[in-house]
Amino acid sequence: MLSYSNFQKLYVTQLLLILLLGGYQFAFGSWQVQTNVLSILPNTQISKALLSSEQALFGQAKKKVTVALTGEKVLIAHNALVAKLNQIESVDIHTEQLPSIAQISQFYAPFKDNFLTAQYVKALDDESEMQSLILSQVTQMANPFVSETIAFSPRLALAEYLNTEFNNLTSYKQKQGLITAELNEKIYYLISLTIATDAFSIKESQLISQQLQSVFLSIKSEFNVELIYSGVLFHTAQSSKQAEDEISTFGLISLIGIILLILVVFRSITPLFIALWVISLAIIYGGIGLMLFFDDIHLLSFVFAVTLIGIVIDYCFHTFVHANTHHSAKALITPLLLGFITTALGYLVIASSPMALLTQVAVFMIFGLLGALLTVLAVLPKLKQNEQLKVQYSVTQASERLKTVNLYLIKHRTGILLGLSLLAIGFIAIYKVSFNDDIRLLNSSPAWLMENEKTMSHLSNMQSINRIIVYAPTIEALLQKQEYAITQLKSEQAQLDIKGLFGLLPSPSKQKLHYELVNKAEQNKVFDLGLAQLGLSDPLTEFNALTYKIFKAGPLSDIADIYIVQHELGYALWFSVKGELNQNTTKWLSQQQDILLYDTAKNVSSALSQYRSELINLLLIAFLAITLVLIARYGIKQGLLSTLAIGLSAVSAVIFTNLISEHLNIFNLLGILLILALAIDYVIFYQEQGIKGPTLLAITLSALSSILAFGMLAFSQTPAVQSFGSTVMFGITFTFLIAPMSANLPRPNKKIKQGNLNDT
Amino acid sequence: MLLKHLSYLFLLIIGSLSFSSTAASNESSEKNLMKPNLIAGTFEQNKFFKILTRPIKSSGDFYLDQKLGFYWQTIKPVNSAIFLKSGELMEKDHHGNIKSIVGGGTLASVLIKAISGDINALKNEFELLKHQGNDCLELKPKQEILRQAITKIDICGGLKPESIKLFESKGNKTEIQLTYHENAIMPEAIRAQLQ
Repeated sequence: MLSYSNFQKLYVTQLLLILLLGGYQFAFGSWQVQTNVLSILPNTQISKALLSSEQALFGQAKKKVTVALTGEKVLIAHNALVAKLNQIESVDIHTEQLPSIAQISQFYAPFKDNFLTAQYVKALDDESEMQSLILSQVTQMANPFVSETIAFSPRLALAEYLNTEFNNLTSYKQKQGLITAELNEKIYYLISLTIATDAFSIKESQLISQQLQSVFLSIKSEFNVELIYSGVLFHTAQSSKQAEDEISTFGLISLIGIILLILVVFRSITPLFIALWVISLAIIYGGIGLMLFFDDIHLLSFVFAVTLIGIVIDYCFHTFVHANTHHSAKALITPLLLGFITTALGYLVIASSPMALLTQVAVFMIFGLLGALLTVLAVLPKLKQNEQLKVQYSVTQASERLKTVNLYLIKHRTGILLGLSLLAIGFIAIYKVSFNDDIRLLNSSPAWLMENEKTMSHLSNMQSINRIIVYAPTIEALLQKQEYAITQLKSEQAQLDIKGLFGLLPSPSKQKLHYELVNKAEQNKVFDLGLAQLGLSDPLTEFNALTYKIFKAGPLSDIADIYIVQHELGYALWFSVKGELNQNTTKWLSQQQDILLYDTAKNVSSALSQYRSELINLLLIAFLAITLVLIARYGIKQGLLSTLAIGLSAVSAVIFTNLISEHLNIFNLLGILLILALAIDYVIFYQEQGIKGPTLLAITLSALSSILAFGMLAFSQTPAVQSFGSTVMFGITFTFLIAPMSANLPRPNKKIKQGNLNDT
Repeated sequence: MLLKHLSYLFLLIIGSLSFSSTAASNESSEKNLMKPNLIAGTFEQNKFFKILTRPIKSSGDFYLDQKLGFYWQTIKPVNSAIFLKSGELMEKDHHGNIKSIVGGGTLASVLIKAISGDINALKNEFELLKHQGNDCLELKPKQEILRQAITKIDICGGLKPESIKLFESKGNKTEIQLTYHENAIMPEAIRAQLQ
């Protein structure tokens, strides 16, 4: 058997190795933190190439800010605003304008016969129809491209094409050389900004947001104009400010509460430092586990893994209280080990999930708990009879009174547990527990900011707009795939309004097709009548394709950059589709490997929904596995009682949370995950040690500290945090009340089977 | 953007018919309210392209209804139309296919302001110069982007402009002669189109 001194040596050695490994992994490992929310989608749902495409196309969007001004003095206000914004170092103002009609016409001149509208293609079969089309072009006032192109392209195919394409490109207009949009009979002048900062940190976003808001406010009051603004920057700043306010409030209350709790019980702050040390080591172990097994670690994994703290503090309190007793180390080691094994088993089930996020959380928890367990076991004898950990007499007395209450409850547990079970079943049968996974419900941005976003969306005509992302390894394949996608969409829903770069830059193969149609019509003398009317000739030149490279070097390169990007895996583009997509269209899109209907809110909501349903299944499987372990260890009666206590605590937490909130979400389930892990520990300690003063004290401390640390979050203004906090608050309360009822009744003059403890 | 300005320029000119008369005679807004609901007539257009030896001629009808909107119908050489309906600019080809010309919203707003004699609306877009010797008003685009395509527009004819000349920066030119019909009635087909 391993002696304690040998164990300690081993512990120190493995700790050093772990720290070295962790340091190496941290510095040289291939891991990276992933912040793209789409990457948490189930592995099979979205390809890596599309993820990279999404990131490359829209990753910069979080740095964009749009400002809209309207009012009587709007022009003066606009100029004043631009002048003030120019003084802010990290702000770039976009002033790009479309090139002139002459520049565009000249650019397309070498490719004049490659571009045909559908109407023009129809006219290629009929000489008189072509004549009518040419004459209507030269007589109409609405096409400025006629004047610019008639000299080198008298067939006027190019004039008609460019007029159609540019007309459909954007809904913005220009006034006095500035970009404008109209809403509710008001003309808004728009300014687009890019926040030029590499590290888009919370602090930076708060600072820039404050600077911008101060400028906006001064412009509003000075010129009496209506000014609205939108951008991810403001959401980040508002949310982080709210989070900071909450952290400073709740954090302070929690910290004061936990310090007071420890001072009341131990009259010393040493336990707090020991607990912090164990928690820190547990987090390091968890982090190393993540770095070992995953290259892309999602930021959300860390957020979810916060539950580790709740379980680790539980280990600590048991260790502190045990240090006050004369019991053997085994009396603590056995339940700690069993607690760890059952919790780890539960997380192992979760780790088998295809959902990357859940797997990462599970690995983090297993490694973290292992680190915490090894640490408390290593320090256990050192803490024995430590004066700094001495429990106050009054606290011991209080735990004795608690013991009496619990013994009374155990005597009546049949009725109580049966009553609670019936109540729970009745509630679930009548009210039904409902979930809503819409990510927008978790939005904590203030109403005025959401209203600004809505107005901007109307101004940019982006409401009910779907964005489609297309990926291909080569640019030619990309342009062809885009044309294929558009053909498919149009064949399914002809009325869809599709906008993008596909018109200004068709694939070379489509250009070649059009060129050959013109060539054939030329040979059939389709243009003769129309050209004779003008008194001009238009000899066909050799085919010359407008390529992406040429387009990028031309006057429309700014537009190309908006729609097409090159990334490490190939090329990506997007186009917009206005109109509601029917089921067939949506289904077709979801079946495409390299085509993605880009709707962050919808995609994330769908991912959350899948995670939620997967998590429920995994929790049930884990629960079953834990039940088997408990039955194997404590026999059928005590095993089932323990399972009932755990299950009833979790279900009660769900019911009470559902009573105060309309719907549940994945963050409530996350709370349940913590409740289950804590409840397992509680029932194991009760089974192992019985209803004893030290056990009750350690569990009471654990429950109170968890309520102080997590339950406080129930008062948060951030919906996700509030959901988690309220479930934990109810869950811990119920676990604390119900778990003791699973314990064996103490028998006079007979030691409990596994326990060998004396009351303090 | 430029083409949008150009696309509604013609309507702007028509809108300025009432403007020019208002500006010249300095009528009050009350008098404007007494304007007939419908201004209608025929037009003859000559487009002079530098590259062509002779102008391209076209002709047709126009209708400007205070309530319904504006209709510019080319009959010869090819039947087509441009019309403004509920603030939206539309184009109708010789097959009767109708498509929207994006940007009509602003145009509608400008047009309505011009018709109602709101001089400020036009002053934002153009510099207005009144010729002393004749009954003409010269409109010069203020914006650089508009100036790249149009050098000036001449509107002549006093209360009811009879001639509009649009000079393009490329050296091309469009001349339009307008003839007004008193007590005209908007054809049902056009009325239906605008409703």
